[in-house]
Amino acid sequence: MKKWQWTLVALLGIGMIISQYMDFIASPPEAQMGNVVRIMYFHVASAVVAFTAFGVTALLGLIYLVRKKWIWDQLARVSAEIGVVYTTFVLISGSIWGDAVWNTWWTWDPTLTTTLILWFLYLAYILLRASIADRERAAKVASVYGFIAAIDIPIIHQSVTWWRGIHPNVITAQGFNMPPIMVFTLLFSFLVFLGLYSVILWISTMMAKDRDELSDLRELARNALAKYDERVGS
Amino acid sequence: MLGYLFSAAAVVWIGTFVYVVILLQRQRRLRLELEDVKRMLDEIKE
Repeated sequence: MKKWQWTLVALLGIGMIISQYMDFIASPPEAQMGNVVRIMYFHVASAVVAFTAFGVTALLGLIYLVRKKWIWDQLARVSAEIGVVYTTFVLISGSIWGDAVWNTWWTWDPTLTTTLILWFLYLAYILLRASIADRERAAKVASVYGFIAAIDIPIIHQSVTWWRGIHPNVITAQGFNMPPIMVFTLLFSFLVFLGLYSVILWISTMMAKDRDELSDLRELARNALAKYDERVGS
Repeated sequence: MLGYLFSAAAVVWIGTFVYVVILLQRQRRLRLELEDVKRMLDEIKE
């Protein structure tokens, strides 16, 4: 591994430790919720990264449709996969918070329901890609589907206003509804989660690129060896 | 509650960090394999 890669991973590790310190030690408990509020730092940060990941999938899918370059499609695919993991995390952390504050693991609140729909939509995106054997066709179909599925993101964001559910609205047009230390902790969590997303997106895309190149080269080597054997045989 | 939350978050962070390191090592191994195949192809061409 190169030196700059280690530096990047070390920085990420330091960010995780600082984030853990900020979430559980530096940040105070909330007046009514107490320590349960600390789940919010993971929950909201995961939600922001999940929405970013799906937004990136939609955008890169469109770029792929225009440019037809394989790398855009791979980035879109990996981003969607990371987005699904983060959405799973959003749903799990939200359920734990809900059990402590609402006294229920799940309720069909508009924000929760639309988030669950988003999870299913991108799970279907992954399954759809896997079900199409032709790589180019899979990329085209997934690009269009990924863009349409992203429509759910602004719906989730607006669901609190449109349908007046019970889900708290932490970030509004007026800013953050919390004290400065909690805002700083939340923003730091965003930063670490986004860093993690970027690093995983980059490594996974590079791996997909190398895997493809390796399979092409193996095919080339096999053909070259077959020709060599033919020549030696004759 | 705080103790459980802290432990759960720590486990998630450590797990994620280990996953990133494993991912980087896998990528390195893949790169080395790729270089090997390229070298082999060059030898065949010669």
